[in-house]
Amino acid sequence: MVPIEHVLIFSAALFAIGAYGVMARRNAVLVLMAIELMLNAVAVNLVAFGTLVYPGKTSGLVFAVFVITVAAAELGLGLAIVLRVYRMRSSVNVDEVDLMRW
Amino acid sequence: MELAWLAPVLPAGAFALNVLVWRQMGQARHLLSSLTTLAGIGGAFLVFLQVFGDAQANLEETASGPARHLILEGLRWFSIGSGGTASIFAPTLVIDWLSIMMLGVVTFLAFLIEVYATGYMKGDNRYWWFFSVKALFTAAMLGVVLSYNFLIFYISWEMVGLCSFLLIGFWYQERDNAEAAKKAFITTRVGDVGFFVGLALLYVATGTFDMKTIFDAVEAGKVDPTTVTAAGILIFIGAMGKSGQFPLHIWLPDAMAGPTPVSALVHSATMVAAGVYLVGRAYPLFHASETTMAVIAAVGTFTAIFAASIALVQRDIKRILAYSTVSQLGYMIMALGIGAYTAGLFHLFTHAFFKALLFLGAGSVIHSMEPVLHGTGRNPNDIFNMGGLRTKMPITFWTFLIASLSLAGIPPLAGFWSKDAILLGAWEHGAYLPLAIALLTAFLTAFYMFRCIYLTFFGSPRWASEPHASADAVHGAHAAHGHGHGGHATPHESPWAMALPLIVILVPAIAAGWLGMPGIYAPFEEAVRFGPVVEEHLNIWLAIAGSLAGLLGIGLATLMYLRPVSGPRLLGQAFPDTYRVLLNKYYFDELYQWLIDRVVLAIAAMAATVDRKVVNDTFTDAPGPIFSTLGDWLRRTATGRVQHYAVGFVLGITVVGAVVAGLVPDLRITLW
Amino acid sequence: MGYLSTMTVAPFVAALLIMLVPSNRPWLTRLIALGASLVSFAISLVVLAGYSWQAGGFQFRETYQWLPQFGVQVLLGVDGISVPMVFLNAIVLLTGTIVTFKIADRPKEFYALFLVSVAGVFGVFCSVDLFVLFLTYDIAGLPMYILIVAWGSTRKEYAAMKLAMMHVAGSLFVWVGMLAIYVQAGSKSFDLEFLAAQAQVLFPPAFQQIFFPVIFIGFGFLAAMWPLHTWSPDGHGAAPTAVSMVAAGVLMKLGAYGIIRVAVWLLPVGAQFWSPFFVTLGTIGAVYGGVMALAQRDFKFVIANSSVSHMGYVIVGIATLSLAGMNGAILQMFSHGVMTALFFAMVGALYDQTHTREVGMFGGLARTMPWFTGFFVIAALASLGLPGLSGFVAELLIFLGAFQTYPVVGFLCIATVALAATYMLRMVARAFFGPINPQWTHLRDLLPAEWIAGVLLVATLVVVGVYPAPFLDMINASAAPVIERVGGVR
Repeated sequence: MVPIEHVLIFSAALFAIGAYGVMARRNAVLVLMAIELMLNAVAVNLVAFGTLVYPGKTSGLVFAVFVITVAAAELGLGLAIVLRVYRMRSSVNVDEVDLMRW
Repeated sequence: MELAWLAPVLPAGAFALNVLVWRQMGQARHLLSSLTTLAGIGGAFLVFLQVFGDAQANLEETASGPARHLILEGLRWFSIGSGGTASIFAPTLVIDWLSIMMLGVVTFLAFLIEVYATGYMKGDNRYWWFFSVKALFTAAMLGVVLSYNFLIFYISWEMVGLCSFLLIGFWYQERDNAEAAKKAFITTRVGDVGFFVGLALLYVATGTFDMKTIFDAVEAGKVDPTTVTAAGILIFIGAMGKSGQFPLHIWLPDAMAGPTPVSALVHSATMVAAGVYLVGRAYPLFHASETTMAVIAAVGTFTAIFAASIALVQRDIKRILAYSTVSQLGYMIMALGIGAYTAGLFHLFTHAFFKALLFLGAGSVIHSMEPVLHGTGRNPNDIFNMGGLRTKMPITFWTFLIASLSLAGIPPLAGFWSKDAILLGAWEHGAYLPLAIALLTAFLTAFYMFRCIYLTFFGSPRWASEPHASADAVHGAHAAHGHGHGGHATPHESPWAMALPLIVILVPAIAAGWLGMPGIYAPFEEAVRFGPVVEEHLNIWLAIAGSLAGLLGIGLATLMYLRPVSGPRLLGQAFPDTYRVLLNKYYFDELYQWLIDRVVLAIAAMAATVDRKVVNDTFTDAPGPIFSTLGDWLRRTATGRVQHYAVGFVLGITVVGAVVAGLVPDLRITLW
Repeated sequence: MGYLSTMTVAPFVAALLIMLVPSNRPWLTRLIALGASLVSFAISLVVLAGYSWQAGGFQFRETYQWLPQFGVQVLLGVDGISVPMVFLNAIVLLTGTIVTFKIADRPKEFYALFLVSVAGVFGVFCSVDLFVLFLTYDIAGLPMYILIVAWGSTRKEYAAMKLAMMHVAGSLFVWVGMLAIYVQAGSKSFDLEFLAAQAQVLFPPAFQQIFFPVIFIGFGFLAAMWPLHTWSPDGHGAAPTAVSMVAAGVLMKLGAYGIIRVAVWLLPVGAQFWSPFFVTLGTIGAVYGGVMALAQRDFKFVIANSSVSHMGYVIVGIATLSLAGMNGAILQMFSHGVMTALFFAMVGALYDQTHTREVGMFGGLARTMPWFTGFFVIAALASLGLPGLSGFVAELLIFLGAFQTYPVVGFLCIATVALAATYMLRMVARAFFGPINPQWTHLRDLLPAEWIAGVLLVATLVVVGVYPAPFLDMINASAAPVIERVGGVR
């Protein structure tokens, strides 16, 4: 069995990469993909802790499935917005979309 | 005697009935109100008679000294604290000869003046209100007279002031009357500040407002002498305000703006005497301090001569009487200050009658002059618009004359005996300067009273013709030079409702002094006294000196004013500056007006500007710009770039995580 | 539902109901508002009559759980200090409702906000729980902003903003102090009685000395303590009649009540330490307000500045920590509330007809408006401390308390009374006496609604002034223990 530390280090790394992507990438599509990475890191954690704390139960897995579903829905919504922004501004660069500024 | 509390309650009930019930009765309210008020005050007079009769039999010597007290414990008004340390504020009444004397004077005069007012005020559209306030006034005045607790005394004192305000401003449609009312209230209020501070000092020292406890503590030396002196002087300032003593005298002459029955009752016989009464009532306190007594004597003496000198040149008949009142009150205060307790209060007693009579006489004159001068624009109060009324108004004339003789101190009238008692007191206490000034004042008093009589009742009638160039005036400062035609009416004697009270009051104005004839018959001295009974003997030389001063004054007035009118012009021209200063009452009104306009109001206006510009605009509104600048800076952090926000999230999560993980110490304040 | 909760909730429920009423039925709105205020008034009378001062302490208790994990309960109860305040609020609510019958502009919204505010005030006076007290304190203050902006006059935006900001700033201080008390006590309880009983154990002197002024100043904003008073003239000046009545009559008392209930009661050591400082501020306020009032030309500004002066007396009375002063301060809060409500009701009656409040514009109104003049003069006399009206007893006690502790302060306060006579009588003599200004001969006297409100308020002033014993017994029963804790002068 894989030790829990390995899984946690993996998911932390995945989360950090995702967070870096969210903060640093300029292309909106890539930002959305980075968010996906973070969500997946969470899903990995859920599965790992689920099997560790409640062995033989599926609650962790179920939660992970939920996360994936929600992530898919969110991505769909996000991409739709990106598409609209592209239509309006001919760009998907998040730097240039600062409509919510003061 | 236990019924004494009814004396203030009956008129107070009359007031309540008038205001709450009769007011709604349409035109009938006028009649109902006047009857109710008369009934209330008459009831109070009956209470006086009962108390008086009872007191002669049943007033016992109390252990605390020669004064005779009977204290009626009243209701608890309120209290603070509980158990043994509670401070209970309860009304206490006193029945001694001093209060019985005042009870008699107030109820007797109030009743007669009310009768007089039924005639004088006839036809006024606020007739009912006049009587209502007079009822309230009488109740409050009786409260002053009977209370033996400084707090209740002060309360009644203030109510008296309120009634005075309402009555002076009775004809409020005239701006001057409203101003006079305001001036009276505020000036006496200034004195009351002193009074109240004095009371507070006594309360802190003794823990009570009860006069008996306070006086006992003072006599036993339990109160710090400095406090006694300070409290004494401060309380005396209150008396100065009410009794129109210099320098708080300015309101009293202006108070003559009220209807004449008001001037007679409130501003000559009773309310203004309340200050003197206060000095008499709180005498143990004043007497305990030499300094206080000296201050009282000095203020009284100065006021006596000061006001008399102003009265010499006044033109308004009521103002002459008003300054005369101020002067006579100064006389009484002086007597009390030099230690002649009985004499001062005896003069209060006699003065109330003959001065009320003088005012009622003046009212009678004005009442008959008003229709005559109506429409001419000439002032019906101005004695230079009168003349020759002796034959037109015989009852008024004779009563006015006798009252003036009494005021001038001509034997055997009432004023002679009380003035003589004061002179005698001054002589015996070695107060020679006050004695000299008192004699001079007596001379001046006789002079101005007879100037007034000659100009009013003798000589040629000046009301019928075009106004003369006024006799005294150099510059005609006050003269109302109307050029209308003289009225067609002629002056006539007043109706019986007004004439009858004159005759009734004439009796005590002549005879009240006979209660204090030293060595002959002097029950007053035995009753109203401070300390043991002293057998007084008539000092014949002083009596002669006093009478002579009066006669000289009358003589000089006769020389100058009986023959139509040339001498006085010479006087006015000979000393124009003195004349002008006197006519303008030493410019005290101007001085105070200047102080109020240029100092008090200027300070207020300055404070208002400071409040707006500094306190409000600079300090209160200051956070506005600070925060908007700050916000201006802070809003730049809202870049609109999602990724910047994301950085914020991460940092925030990190801090929260650190706290949850216990990497930061407990936030609970552990400093102490 | 007990008495207190019914009394508090009735205006709130009425506000909700009023919002459901269609706006073309203003009479129904008025009826509901009147009904609610009558209910509250009736209950306040029951409370006033039913409170037993011999027993003392909190009575009419009610307890409801709210957030048990944080120790937040709804604890209701009134003691001798809050009973007069509850009665004051009820009478201002009733009279305010009555004199507002005449407004034509959006009565529905007006009544709803007005009733919410007043319900909040009831909440403050009735709650024995610090959290609920604070919550209702803010509910009471904030509707004022909308009421002034929407129905006010003159510089209403500025005034409303200032009132709201100063109220919030004060709340901030109070909130800090409240949380500090909660955290320091560490027993997860906002129960005032519990905190007070344990104060000696829970709050060390250093803590008290730091947080007493924080809470005092926080409540001082609403109590118009100098120099935090500047909202008062502007706010009263701009507010519509009923709002002025509540703002001056009751809101200012919330501040003073908070000072007594939270600061002095919970932190007695801090109170002793800071007493001279706050006595000084109170005295400055008293004198300053009086001087300011002399310079004003607008009825409402004169009254507002005199309120600053009178609230200065209240601060002095509380801060002297003497039994007489404390009793006087509480009675003064009551009496000043009734008196200013009367003042503003009358000024409103005049302003509705003339649309000016410049004192110098008038003259001789006594002839055409006798009732109006009578009521106004009675309010003025109460304001200048005439015996026989409730202000006198209150001021007397405050002055005695001041003399027992700081004689100079006592002297200054008494001297201010002469000032009060001056500015009040100047106003009265100028506007009501003298020859009538022909411009105003058409003015009518009071409307029946205004007359009823006036009679109610005047009667209260007279009754309390003539026979204050029942009120003072009640106040004394609860003020004495507070003073005893502080170790003040008895």
